[in-house]
Amino acid sequence: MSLWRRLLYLWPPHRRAVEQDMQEELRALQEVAESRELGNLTLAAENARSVWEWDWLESIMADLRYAVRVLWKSPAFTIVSVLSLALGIGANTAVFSVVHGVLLRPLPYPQPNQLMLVAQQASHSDITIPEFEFWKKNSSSFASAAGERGAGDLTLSVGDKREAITAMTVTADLFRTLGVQPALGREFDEKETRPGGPQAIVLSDSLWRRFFDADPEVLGRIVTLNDARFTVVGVLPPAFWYPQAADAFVPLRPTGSASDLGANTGMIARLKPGVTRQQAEAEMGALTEAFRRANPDAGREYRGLTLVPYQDSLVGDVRLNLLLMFGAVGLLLMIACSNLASLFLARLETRQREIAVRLALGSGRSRLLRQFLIENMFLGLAGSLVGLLGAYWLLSGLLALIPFHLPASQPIRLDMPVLMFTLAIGLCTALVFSLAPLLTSSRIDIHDTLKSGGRLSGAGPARQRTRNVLVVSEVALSVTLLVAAGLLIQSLYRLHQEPLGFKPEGLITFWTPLTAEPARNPADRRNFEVTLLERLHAVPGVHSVAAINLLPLTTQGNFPAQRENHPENSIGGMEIRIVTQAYFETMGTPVLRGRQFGVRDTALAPPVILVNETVARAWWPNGNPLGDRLVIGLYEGKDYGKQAPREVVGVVGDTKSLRLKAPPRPTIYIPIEQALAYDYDLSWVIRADRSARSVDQIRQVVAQVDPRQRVARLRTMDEVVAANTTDSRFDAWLSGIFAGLALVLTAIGVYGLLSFSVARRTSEIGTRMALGASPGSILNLVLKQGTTLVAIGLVLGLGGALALTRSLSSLLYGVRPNDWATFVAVSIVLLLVGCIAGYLPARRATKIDPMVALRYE
Amino acid sequence: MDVLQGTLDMLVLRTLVMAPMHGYGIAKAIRSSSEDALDIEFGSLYPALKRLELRGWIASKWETSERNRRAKFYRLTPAGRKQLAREHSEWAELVNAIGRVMGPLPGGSES
Repeated sequence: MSLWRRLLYLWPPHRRAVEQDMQEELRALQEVAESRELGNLTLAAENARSVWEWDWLESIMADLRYAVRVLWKSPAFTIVSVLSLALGIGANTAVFSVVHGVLLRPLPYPQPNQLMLVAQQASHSDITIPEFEFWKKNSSSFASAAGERGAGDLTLSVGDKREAITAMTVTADLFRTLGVQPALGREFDEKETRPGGPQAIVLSDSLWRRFFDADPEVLGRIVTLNDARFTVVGVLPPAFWYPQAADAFVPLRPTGSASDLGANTGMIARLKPGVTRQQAEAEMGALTEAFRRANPDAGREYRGLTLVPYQDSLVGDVRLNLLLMFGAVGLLLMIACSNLASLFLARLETRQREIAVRLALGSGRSRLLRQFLIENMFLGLAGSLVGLLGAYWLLSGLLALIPFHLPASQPIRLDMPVLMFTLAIGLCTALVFSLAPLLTSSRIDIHDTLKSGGRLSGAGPARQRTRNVLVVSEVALSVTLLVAAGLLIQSLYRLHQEPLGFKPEGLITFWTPLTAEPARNPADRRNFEVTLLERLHAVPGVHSVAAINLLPLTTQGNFPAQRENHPENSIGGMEIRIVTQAYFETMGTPVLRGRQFGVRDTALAPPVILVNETVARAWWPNGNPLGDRLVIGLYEGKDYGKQAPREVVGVVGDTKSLRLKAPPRPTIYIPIEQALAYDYDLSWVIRADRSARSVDQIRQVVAQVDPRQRVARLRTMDEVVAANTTDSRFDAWLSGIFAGLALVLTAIGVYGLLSFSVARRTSEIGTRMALGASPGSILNLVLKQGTTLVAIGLVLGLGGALALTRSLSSLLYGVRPNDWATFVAVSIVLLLVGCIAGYLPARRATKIDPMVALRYE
Repeated sequence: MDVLQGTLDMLVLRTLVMAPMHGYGIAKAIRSSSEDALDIEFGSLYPALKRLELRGWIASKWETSERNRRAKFYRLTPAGRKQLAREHSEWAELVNAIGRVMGPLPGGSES
């Protein structure tokens, strides 16, 4: 009741009315009573007001007004502080939005913590179909489990209407496992996910609206995917989110052939309520022996499966990249913060007189501290607001630049939790950069300060010490950032130095997916390939043209093969590359021994094969592979879809497989004429003069050969290589920029500290000079102060960096986290920057006129 | 005699039991009913009035006085009446207790 009435007084009109009423009442009383009897009415009114006034709030308002006035009067300080805070806070806000959207926001499924990825014990990679079936059947820890095998590009058609869509291949129970109920119909059943069962399709909400005009009668309709007929059995709800963008889902069915044995199925399981990951893993481990007995092919080294929380598995490497980014902006904010604290201290020194006057006039010490805190909170809030504006732009830029796939279930933007974060760091920052100065300013001697004209005071040395500590910590933080940046930049450099095994310059490439309809029979396919090769070759300026099923750095294969009659020479996962004759010449991959494919290697000629150096080294360490024979589909003597033996006719140089960071994989090449048994999409490579590398011309040529053929991924080989280094490039650039900013801030910090110290020591330096100190020794004196601080910070920072960079090791390539050269280089750079930042104030010290300086006191 | 800390509110409430009064009237009434022993300054009475009003124990209204002058009159609210009863009994207890402790002074100690 009473509180409510008091709150009303906060409303200015009500307050004015009350004030007016009171004045009137007192005036009226003056008419009925003697003024002597009433006494001091002004005091009475003042005391009456204090009954309803909000003392602390009003005095805070007064402090705030005072703070605004003070800050307004020193615009340079205010602008510098607000902008540097805004920069730090804005960067942190933008990065936090991404961290929040990707790492912190739970997946949009019920009880997402119960979802696990079932993966290989050792590599955390995909599993085989027998593993999937065995554990799904036998593990009692799972409430439900399902498998998926990536996305494929298909052509959906109904009558004349057609559209290129992306379809995920998934087993039954996927949606049950995720906890999602289709909006219409159902998901796949056991029949549809068995070999030879009826083909079915589940549509995403957007495809259903787009292609079927949200037809409620869509269930049971027959649609064509490429050239097979599928029945629509379900439509997903609009809010459904899947880590990979998919227009539709089709059944994953075991084929009963060698491809079932490839580690190519992702298994998602939902733990039963109350079952922990450890319990489930223990139970799965107990089943490993049974699986090994049932599948002797698994081998002696088979170690079974493990569980990875589903969200962690989706985030994967992105986590470390994001944390690196978050760490870098965090360090940057801390550096900006210590700079501000230092600036604030310097300002406190110049406001000494104001402080002393206020103390002398009876202002409480706590009130004074509160005043400073409020000033800083005000700066913090202003910095947050400006930072928020900056973050809005930064975030869109960041999202456009981040090269890795962000598995975010909702759009990443500045939402409520992010705003709370911004506000929190804004206020925390203000608190932090007030704290250090305030702790040192509790002892201010009023008399001394007033007497000395507000220049020197007893708190000076303590403050100087605090500023030293701030500069040391700035240096230490910068060292950490610089070392991280140095290591990442070196990794990028090493990555670029990595031999590719081919010459990307002057190469252009494109991909012709097998979506043309009707599907070509093998003869048509050959015909298309031969014609396209001829036409492309005929384009003026084209030197050579070739085609391959697995273009290096884009895809990789996984096939077993064995040296004939040598079961000990078996490799389970090989790349089989199907190439046209001019492939090696076009790519610039050297043929090291023997010959490459020629016109004589026709479909009817004896089957031939080329191996890369890795295979040659593994199987014929000292001998000659030429004339020996290989069997594809054979592994340790066992048949996985065995083919006729092929004679090795040559050895070619290693090329990078899928990733630049990984060593070349064992690879075998077979001529396209002898690969009729394979299903493949072709990538085309053209080596041509600049003039002939015209995108339009290539599309035209393909259209002339087959107007229905889609052309995709048309780009230069340089771009393919670059796409493989984007992560490293992003990390290197980002950390480099942050490290550069940190260096600049640190230089400013050192400069500010020394300038101020020189100003404080003017009389001391003047005395020294009057007593005969040379300019050189004065220069030395000041520089030594700076370099000592930098050196201390350096030692601390190097220690910190040593501890922190170890966690970066998976982002590094070709350089160890404790690479001494980087540490030395960073130390030299920082000492140099320290000297440069110290030189200006030091020189100013040598210009001090002893006479002026001595009169200064 | 000074008014004990905290008793002023009670005195005001007690005074308003009779009839609504304006601010100065209350001061006069306390003075006269204490036979001039309690000389309450208006300057300290006035904030007390505002405090009681804020708590909802008294209410005020502009009225015309007997001499045809406008003044702000304060009257007791039901909540104020309850508060007065509470304070009155507490006060009686306190006076009793203090009286028991103090009693008459032993003879001979009078100077």
